[in-house]
Amino acid sequence: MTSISVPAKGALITLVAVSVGLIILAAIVVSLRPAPPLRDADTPVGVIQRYVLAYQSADLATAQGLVENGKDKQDCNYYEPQKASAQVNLLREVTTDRSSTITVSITYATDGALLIDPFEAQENFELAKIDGAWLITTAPWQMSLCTKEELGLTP
Amino acid sequence: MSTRTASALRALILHGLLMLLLLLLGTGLSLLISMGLSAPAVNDDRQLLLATALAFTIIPGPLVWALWLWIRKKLLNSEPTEAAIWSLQGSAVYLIALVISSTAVLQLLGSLIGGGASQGWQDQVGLVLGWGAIGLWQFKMLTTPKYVPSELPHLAVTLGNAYALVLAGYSLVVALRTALELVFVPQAILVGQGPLPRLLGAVIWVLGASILWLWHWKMLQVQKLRDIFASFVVMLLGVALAALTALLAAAATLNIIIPLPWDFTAMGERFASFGPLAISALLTGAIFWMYHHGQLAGRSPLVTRVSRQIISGISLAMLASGLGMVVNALLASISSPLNTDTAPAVLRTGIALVLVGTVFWVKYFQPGARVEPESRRVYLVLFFGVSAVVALVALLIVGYRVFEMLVGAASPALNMLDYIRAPLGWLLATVGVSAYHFALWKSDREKLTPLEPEARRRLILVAPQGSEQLLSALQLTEGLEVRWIVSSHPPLPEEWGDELTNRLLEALATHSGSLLAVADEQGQFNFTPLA
Repeated sequence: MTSISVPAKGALITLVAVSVGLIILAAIVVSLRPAPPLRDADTPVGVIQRYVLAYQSADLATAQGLVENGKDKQDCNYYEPQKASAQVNLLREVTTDRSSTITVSITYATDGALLIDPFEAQENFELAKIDGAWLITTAPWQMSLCTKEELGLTP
Repeated sequence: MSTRTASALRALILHGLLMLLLLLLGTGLSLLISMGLSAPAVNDDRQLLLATALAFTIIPGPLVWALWLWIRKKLLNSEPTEAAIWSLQGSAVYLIALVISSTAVLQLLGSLIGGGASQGWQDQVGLVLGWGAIGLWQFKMLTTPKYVPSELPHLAVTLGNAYALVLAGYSLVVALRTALELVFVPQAILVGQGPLPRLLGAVIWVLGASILWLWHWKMLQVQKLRDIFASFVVMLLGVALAALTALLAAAATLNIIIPLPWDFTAMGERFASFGPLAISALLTGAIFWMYHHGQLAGRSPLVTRVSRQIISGISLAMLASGLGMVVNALLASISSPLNTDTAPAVLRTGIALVLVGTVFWVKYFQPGARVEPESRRVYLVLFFGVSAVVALVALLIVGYRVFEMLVGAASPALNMLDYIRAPLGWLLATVGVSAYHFALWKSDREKLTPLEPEARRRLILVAPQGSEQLLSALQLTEGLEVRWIVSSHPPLPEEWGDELTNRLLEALATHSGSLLAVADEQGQFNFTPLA
């Protein structure tokens, strides 16, 4: 077989430049992108945003106020170590007059590890309009509140 | 012989023990450091850990030292087998320590940049320092001029270079993929810190792995190693693996672009689902492939040839798979399946694979070109064999499914053609590949035959001293190899020379094969045909 022709060095440099440029471009685009805006409290997505923020900062009173019959409910995820580091992205929203289903992806940071993909889960929030306000009826298990019966505290 | 075996066995046991102790020491040291860094709150779990850490540090530490004092005396004048065992052991420990400490340091830096200095930073620091110390010590011992193994002296740096190369490539893929996803497939963030830390973390990995690779490649001069092992490792990872990545990614990218069906929303969906990964793998593979392709120049021609054959093999495999998929999709369009979505997807993937495979196969295999048959013998036999096996498996699956439908109470909704189209496509493609390579191999073998030494006639002449004249006359005959064995008879008279030559030529003309001719004292020949 004939010997390999050495390809132009220029092509190699171009490819490297394209890669570096892409990364720099992405960094600039992301830094210029505004922080996630807090949406209106009377929309389903706004309710979820407030609920997740309250849940992550362990503000139980606020979280309880956004859940249907939330007064007596407690946080039921004792063993979730990375509660605060979850990132929640909006995937889909299906809203009617009375109810709403919001699909989100919940991603946990991997602490700088590259060899494992960040753990990502798709979950649904179910909301219903009760007395003119959106309240969460079902939350993903990663960030839900449970009644005492569900926790097994009272028989 | 037995002492040599015994010394090799002793070296195996000593170095195996040293490796085990070093690995234990690395574990113990890193545990101990991380325990020292975290707040000294004592509870039951930590007591157990502390006991483990102390046991793994204090027991293997002095033992390693004592064992090393003993081993190093033997290293000064070691036999080749012992030197090879020393090199293997040292390289294994170096590689393990390098992998653990480098991933830990990069993870630590990545999490620092993310701002979320994690709860596990003490563990990371422990891993970096503990295993870093083990790796450095092992590396220093391997490169100290007194102890450099005489066999496989560059194994450790070659393996370290290979690891760093793969890590750098993988990190670059992840970084580019993250960048592309952030720019082109943005997601609506509801809560969270945003994707910038993830991108910067990936960049840290790329930089760290590249530095590690450059250190091995330039500073430790793996680039200048010309032995066949080092060249092969560079070729397999830098050229073959990079080419595999680039070609598959190119097919995936084409898969996005090919407008089948003519629908731009679907194209956008395809891009969103695997576009960033395909493009980043394509870029990374191309960069590494091009660079190492240039680096092959000046290495052994065997390495260059094998690299070409591997790439032509990869592209041919893609071509054959693509053909199989195209056949599959065509059969699907005949049998009118219920789900109309599969056929275009299969056809698109098939066409993409066929296009990429054909281009690179033609470029690297050069089907029309005249080549030295000897150089591609193994390649042809390998391809003929592998594709024949795949064809056989596909045939078995077709047969199984046909019989399954004939014997069993198959549901009438199941279409026979639809049921067997996938293995049928495979069967047709691999039979084609197998037949093509078999034909090439056969024609190459026919070209090789005239060169075989068996085709030459041989004349073994047993004659007394002074028969040089006879011999020189015979050696002019075309295609004849003459060997002269001197007998103890008195020399034959010189005037008989012409007559003897004629008699020999006559005998050669009547016999077709090789001959043994024994001359007696009267100048008569006794002929025996040889096999």
